[in-house]
Amino acid sequence: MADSDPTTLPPAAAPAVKAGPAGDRGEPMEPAADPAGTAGTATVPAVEFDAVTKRFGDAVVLNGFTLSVRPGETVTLIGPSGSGKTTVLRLAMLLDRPTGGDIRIFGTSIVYADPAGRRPLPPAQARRQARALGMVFQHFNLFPHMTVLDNLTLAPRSVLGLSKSDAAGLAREHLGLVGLAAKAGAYPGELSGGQQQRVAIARALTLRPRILLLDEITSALDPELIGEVLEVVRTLTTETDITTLIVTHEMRFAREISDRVVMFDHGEVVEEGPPATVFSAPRSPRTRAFLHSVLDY
Amino acid sequence: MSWDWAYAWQIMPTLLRGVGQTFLVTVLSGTIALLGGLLIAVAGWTGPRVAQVCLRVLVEVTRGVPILVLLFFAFYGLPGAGLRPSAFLTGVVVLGAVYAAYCSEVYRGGLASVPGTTWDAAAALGLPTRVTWARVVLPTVLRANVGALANYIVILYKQTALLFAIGVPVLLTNAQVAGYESFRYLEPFTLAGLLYLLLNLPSVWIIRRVERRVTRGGF
Repeated sequence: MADSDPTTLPPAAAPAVKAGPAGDRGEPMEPAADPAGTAGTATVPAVEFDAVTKRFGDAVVLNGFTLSVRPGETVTLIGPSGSGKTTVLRLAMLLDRPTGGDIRIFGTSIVYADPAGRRPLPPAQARRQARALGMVFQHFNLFPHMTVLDNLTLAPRSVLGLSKSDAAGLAREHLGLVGLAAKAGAYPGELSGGQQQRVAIARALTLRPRILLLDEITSALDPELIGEVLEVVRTLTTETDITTLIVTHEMRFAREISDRVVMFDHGEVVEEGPPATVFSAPRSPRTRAFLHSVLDY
Repeated sequence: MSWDWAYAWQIMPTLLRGVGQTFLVTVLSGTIALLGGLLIAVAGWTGPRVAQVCLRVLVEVTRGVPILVLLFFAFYGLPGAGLRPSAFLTGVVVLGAVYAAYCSEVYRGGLASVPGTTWDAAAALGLPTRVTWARVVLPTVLRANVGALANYIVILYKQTALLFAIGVPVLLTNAQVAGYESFRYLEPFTLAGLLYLLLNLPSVWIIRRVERRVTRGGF
């Protein structure tokens, strides 16, 4: 990683999504849909959770969760296990559907086809919206029966329609970014956990997402392998304008790279603010209790 | 009664013709079994509830009724309904259907064991459904179950002998015919048994090779 040229990092600003109006065909304009009156310019949030509720049966995982992430911002969700942090990312990635509320990516809903929120967005259309997002998982989720290179070329070929050689070029470029150009022919099972996770990051980046979701990406790693993965993320967040939404238990790392930290408990935001404030002078007793338990003071 | 080498040689061409038919039936009904089983499993996995129930019933009937009963039903029963498929076609389809039912259970178990993380990864990459199935899910299922599937094909190969009952000229049928014509049964059935055994031996080696090939890269 150290010797890769940071200027070759993917242009995260490349538009991955046509932000087509989802439901304004001939319907009367609803100015109320934009209460702050900030739409239309650069202030459109990259990701917007609007009173999102998620229930699994009787269990309420998210309870009116609201969060707005600016383009280019790095936001970290912290909080106890089971507090719903991962669910937030899964909803944004369309891996689950919210029970209520809306999620907008660059101003366009990925949940509903109409502003009133009655008709669900058809899956194919939702998938197209979600192309602005990439996700990296706790357990890497590489395809074990494919080489590293095939893992990276599959989506560019089948989603972007690139030729085999173009996709391979793109894949090798991204493997270089995470310092694993030499491992293109290896199978995931032949790599260390840290290497697998770096491959997974590279794979998520091949589609040039504008928003990257990182779900506890170091939790399954041996302690000595965490650093190399975090280094890749650090480079990404500081040297590109990619928007990053992170769930992590690495508090020091969260403090270092986040523009904003959101403390989460029982499906609700307890506290949010710049990392210096949340970590050094938390207002909420729940934040204090949580930080005390994880930071091992 | 002692072993007659001359007679053994004399019936060899008849038996080898039976071997050819046995292979043909195995290949054809094996193909039906592997592809049909996959189709049943995927349809049962993705299809509407009604389709799932229909397939379930079909699979249970095919698995639960003895093959001979199904063969006789198809061969002697269907003409009553105005259908007259040849004995060969009847045998191939019935065997293929029965083993498609068995194979579908293997595929079904395989699909159930594809981890949610794999589906998540495919979805997060925005892979089209077709690509997810063809490049990610099915290869995973096949890798894990190639041994079980191959095992069913080996059993199917032996079960082709059942087609004797409706007169398809497989190896056993030709052995019976040879014996019947000369009233000597020792040589034909001994040779038939040996041929079944000999021809099955390479399958062990082939299966192991295929298994090693598809599981390359570890899990």
